[in-house]
Amino acid sequence: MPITFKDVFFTHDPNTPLAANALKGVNFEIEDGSFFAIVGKTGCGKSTLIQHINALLTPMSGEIRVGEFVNHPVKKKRQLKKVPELRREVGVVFQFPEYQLFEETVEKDVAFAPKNFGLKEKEALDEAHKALSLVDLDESFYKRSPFDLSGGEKRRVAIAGVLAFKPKVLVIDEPTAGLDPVGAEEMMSLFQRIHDEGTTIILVTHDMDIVLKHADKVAVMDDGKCVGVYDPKELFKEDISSYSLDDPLVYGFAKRVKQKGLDLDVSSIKDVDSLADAIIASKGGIL
Amino acid sequence: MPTLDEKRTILEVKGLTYSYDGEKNALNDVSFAVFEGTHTAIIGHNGSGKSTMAKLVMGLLTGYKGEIWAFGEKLEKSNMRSLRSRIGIVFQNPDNQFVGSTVADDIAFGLENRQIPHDEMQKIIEEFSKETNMERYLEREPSNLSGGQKQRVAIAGVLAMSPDIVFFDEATAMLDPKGRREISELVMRMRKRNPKLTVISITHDIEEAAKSDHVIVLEGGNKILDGTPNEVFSHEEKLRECNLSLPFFVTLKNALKSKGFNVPDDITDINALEDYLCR
Amino acid sequence: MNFSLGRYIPYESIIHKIDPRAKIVGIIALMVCIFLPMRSWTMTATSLGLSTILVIILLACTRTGIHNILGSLKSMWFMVIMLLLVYTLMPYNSLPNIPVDDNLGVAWNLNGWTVYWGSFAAAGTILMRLVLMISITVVLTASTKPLDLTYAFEWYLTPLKVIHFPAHEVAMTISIALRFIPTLMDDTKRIMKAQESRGVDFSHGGLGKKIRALSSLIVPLFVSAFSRSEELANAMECRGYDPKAKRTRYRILRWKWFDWVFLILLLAILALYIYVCVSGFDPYNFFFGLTLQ
Repeated sequence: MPITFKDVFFTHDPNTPLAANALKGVNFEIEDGSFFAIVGKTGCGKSTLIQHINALLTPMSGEIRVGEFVNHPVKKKRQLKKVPELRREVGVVFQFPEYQLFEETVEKDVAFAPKNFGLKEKEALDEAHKALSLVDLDESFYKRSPFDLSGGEKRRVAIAGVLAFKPKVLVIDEPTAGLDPVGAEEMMSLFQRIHDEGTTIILVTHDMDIVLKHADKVAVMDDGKCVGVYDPKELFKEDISSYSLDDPLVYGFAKRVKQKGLDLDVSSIKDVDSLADAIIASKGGIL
Repeated sequence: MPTLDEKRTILEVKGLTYSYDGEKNALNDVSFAVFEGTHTAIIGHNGSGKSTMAKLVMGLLTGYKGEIWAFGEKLEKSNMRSLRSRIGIVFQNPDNQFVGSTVADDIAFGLENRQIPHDEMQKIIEEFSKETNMERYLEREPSNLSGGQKQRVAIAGVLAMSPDIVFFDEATAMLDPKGRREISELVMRMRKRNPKLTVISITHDIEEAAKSDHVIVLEGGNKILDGTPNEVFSHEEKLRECNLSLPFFVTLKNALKSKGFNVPDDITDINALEDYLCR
Repeated sequence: MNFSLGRYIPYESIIHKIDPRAKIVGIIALMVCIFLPMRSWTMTATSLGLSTILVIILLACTRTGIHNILGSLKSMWFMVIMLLLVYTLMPYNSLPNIPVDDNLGVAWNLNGWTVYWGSFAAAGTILMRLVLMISITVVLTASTKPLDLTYAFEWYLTPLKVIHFPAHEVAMTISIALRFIPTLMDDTKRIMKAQESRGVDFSHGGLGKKIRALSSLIVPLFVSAFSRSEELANAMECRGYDPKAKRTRYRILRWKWFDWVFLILLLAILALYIYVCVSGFDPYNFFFGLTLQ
């Protein structure tokens, strides 16, 4: 499902002293089947933006098209048609999703969304079991209380709770926050797998190394606007500090040694291995 | 740089064993020493027992086996309060440690508990809000602060009590990169201002550990490695077994080595490597 | 939801500067004034009118717009209609407490259904009292930081320590509760959004669905609140908090001369109202010889 943002404006708490313009004319497009990252500093409007994709928020002006569905300004949110259908197509995993668990057992919690979207008890449980095996939780977890699990397991249950209704578009907000490096890597390879099976992934993150490794397109947000959509490797070659973005580790290192005077060919770099090659090449081969 | 054992031991745990449920040990016969004025990083993945360690030292958990020594005294019920008052801790969640209704009230909280007179309190709050760059926000409420700002207030509150040891229990895990940078810069400033201050960060940020003076690796409640970053990160195999990754510097050095480009052994951190390459 | 109601508005007015202890007593005095029963509708109207003027002055001082108060009335429209219905439909003088004054005459008489003007007056009185009470509370909450209010309550409760009333603990609990309201509001919003994304509809559906929807909000909210409170307790302990120990204070309430002025002024007004109420003193008759009935 392609997603298009067209001149999207949004203000939090309009007509109050707290009013804050979060989106100031956002325009961009997300192709079907891409692994799309959205980056920018805290407060740039990323979180507000993703909530427009499944109509948790409706814009003040402009529109968001998700396949057939159009999210456009209305007086009351319920005037939008087909919101449940849209939410079935677009799954959203919020930051720290473990805080949304509430059922007595893991399988019931995961089956909650499929049931809300109209599946029968039995079918919903089947889907729940499939989703749980997708996040590497086996049968022994089905009847356990989600509140007895470790932090990482809870998060996987919560993610299974979204995967269980098989959304065609999956929006994930900082999925690796608070995880240790290995946990984070496992989490990202899970999303990579889901993407490879044909789901469009929209990822919001501060971690540029993840963007570099997984995303095929990245949108940079700054002060409520989309500054541009780039190929990650192209973006990181540029100076991105003006958007308060960190360099991925390899690019940061390459840029620093280049600044210190080493004549390095940045264009071929994409990971540690290629960085090492570039360094050796610039030093005139192996000493 | 003096080696670690030349420094004075300020905190030591001996044979520390603790279990939450009586079945599985969260900590299993762990012993190590932390030296005065160092930045010590305790690393390990989630569930390795590193936060349990901090809770035991802070006296939040009781019923452990083994000994905890701080400032040359064994921690016991009778001296618990006085020893603990010299140790501060900053927790992970910025919201859940903000007690006061405003920044000033929160910095004051510990001072009030210590019965510091009002006028003196005012001065201390001024001093440490300046040190943490929060002096312009004294009357702000926590809901109007960013995560990084809230953690800076927490640090100000801890520093105001003039501790000798400050624990950071994954204090940057919930922050964005900007917040993380602010905190690590602040920690550097703190240590420069008071070279005797001992900082212990419990973290899973390998890059942070690479910049510290002393690294202790925990896994499944056991101590696996203990030494300078250089020593610890040379045990690649052991670290991989603990599901820990290597810092960027070590990965790059290894990659260069495997391609036949040798980096001298005396290059032990990323800045030195940059300089070496640009020579 | 009207967010500006009942919230502290940071503004440097004279009312903001008054000691919260004086404010609490003053505001209670005003409330008593408003609810004192007067002997005749003229006196009721007069006293309410004077109170209204006073409250408007206070509101203006705190910079709380009248439209905020009127805004809050919008959510009370149902009550207003019920009040009017009860007073006009119920037979004359069958209501307790507020005697309907029949001196005002009959509004209309339709085949034995007699409605007196007095019924409207009585309903209006109740309504007026409610609005004034809300306004006074707003004056207090808009001009006083919640924490200062807590300190003031603690100050008044301190004598009860003699009978082992935990005044300090209660005050600490209240101030922490106040501190965490915005945090828990954020939690609520976040959880609602997460569950809406999982197909929950909080505004539609039958009773069963509503209960399920609500439990998907309330259970996580409690879980989060409990984990927050546990961590907070740890943080407080690590910073040396002991509820039984003595503590010093960073925020100190200082009683100033204009606190006396404010307090004495409001108590004087209360005394006057009580005198008029008890004696049945009628200034219109006394000064101008008028008999308004």
